[in-house]
Amino acid sequence: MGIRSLVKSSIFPPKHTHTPIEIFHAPIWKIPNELVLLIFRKLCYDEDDNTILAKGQPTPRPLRLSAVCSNWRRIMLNDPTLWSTISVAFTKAGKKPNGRAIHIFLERSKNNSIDNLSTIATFAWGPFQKDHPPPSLSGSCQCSPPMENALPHRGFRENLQTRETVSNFQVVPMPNLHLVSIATFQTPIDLHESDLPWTQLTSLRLQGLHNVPSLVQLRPNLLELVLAFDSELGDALPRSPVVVRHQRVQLLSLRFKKDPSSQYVEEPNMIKL
Amino acid sequence: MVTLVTSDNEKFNAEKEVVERSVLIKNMLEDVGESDQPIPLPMFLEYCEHHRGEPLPAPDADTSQDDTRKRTTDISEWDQKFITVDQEMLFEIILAANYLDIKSLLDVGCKTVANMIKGKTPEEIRKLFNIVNDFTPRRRCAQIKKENEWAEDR
Repeated sequence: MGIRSLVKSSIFPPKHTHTPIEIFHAPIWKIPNELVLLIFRKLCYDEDDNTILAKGQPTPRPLRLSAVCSNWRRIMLNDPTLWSTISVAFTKAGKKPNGRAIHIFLERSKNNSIDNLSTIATFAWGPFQKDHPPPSLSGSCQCSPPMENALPHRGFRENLQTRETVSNFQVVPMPNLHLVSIATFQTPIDLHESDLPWTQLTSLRLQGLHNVPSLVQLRPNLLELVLAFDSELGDALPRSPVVVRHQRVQLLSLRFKKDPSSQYVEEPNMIKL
Repeated sequence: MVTLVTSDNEKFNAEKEVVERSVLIKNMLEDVGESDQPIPLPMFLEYCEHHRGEPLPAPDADTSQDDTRKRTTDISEWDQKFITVDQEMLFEIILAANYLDIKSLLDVGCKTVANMIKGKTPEEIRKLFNIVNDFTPRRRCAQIKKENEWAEDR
C-alpha cells in the first residue's frame, strides 16, 4: 500500500469497517484463534443444542456463533467438525424443521472424517419432547438419492414434500454413513425400493420390530444388528416371531424394556442368545 | 522447592510437585536440572496447589478432541470460584494456561467462556464481549441474517 493510499484510508476509512482500536479493544481479542476454536468445540459438540427445529425455535448454536463477526465465522467455517453434530426434529404438530438450516449443516460438515456415533450427524424422525430424547436416524448419510424414502411416517412424508427440503437432501453428499438407527413409526417403513446406500452400512439399530427382516436383508455388509423395544414409547410386539436371516451379522443385540425378548426373535444360525 | 518470578519481579516459592502441573515448567525444570535459577512465570500457583496430586492428562492428550464430544461445560465448584474473575483476567488466565500448558486450567477457562456464550443470540454475544459486527458487504450481512432469521421469530 502506498503512502498516499495509506493516508487516504486513514482519513476516509471505508464506510462499513470499524477502526482496529475499536475492534481489538475487547479482551476476547487477546485469545488466539486456536483457543477460540477450543471454546467453539465445547459449544458445538453438543447435539441437544444443535437441534434444528421449525421456524420460531432457537437457532442451532453453530449458526449463532458464525453470525457474531467475520473472524468467528471464519473459524467456524474452517472446522467441519463443528457442523457435524446435529439433530433434526419434527414436531408432533407436523412442523417441519428448517430445510435451509439442515442443508447448511450437511454442507459444512461434509468432509469431516466420521468414525463414531457421537461425531456423526443425527436426524430425529418423530415426535420430539424434551423429557424423551427423540428416536433417531443417525449417520452422516449419503443423501444423493431422495431421502424422503426413508422418512418414517406418511404424515411427515407429506409434510416434507416441499421442493426445498427434498432438494436439500438430494444435493448433499454424506459419504461416511456407517450406522443407522431407525425408530418405530406408526407406518412401517417401506425401504425395498430405496436406493439409499445401504451397502456401506455395517451397523443397524432398529427401535421396534416392524419390518426387521426386510430391513436387515437389504444390507449385505451388516455386521452388527441392534433391536430395541420399549413399550413406553409405544412399540408394539409383533404377533409372530421375527425371523432375521443374514450371512454376515456377527453381533445381535436385543434391548427390551420390561418385556421378555427371546420368544420374539428367531435366528437360525444363532448359537447363543 | 522452585522459585518462580512474575513479570513484575515478584518471587514465589513452590514445591516442584505443584508447579509440575504445568507441562511447560516441567520441561523447563528438566532442561535446567537441579538449579537455584528462578523460573519466570505468571499467576497460576493457587490453581496448581488446589489440584495437586490429581492425575495429569496424558502428554499427548489433545484437549480439543478428548472429552469435548460429551457435554463438557460443567465446572467443579472450586474451579468455578477460582475462575470467577472479570473478562480481562479470564482471558489472561486462558492465555497463561495455554502458554504454560496446563490442560486442566485451559479447559476450565474455555468452559467458562463457553458457558457465558450459551443461550445467547449473536447480538447478545457481541455485547457481552464488546465485539464489533464487522460483516461488511451487504450480501454477506443478508446471508447471515437469513441463516439466523428463524431465531428472530421467537
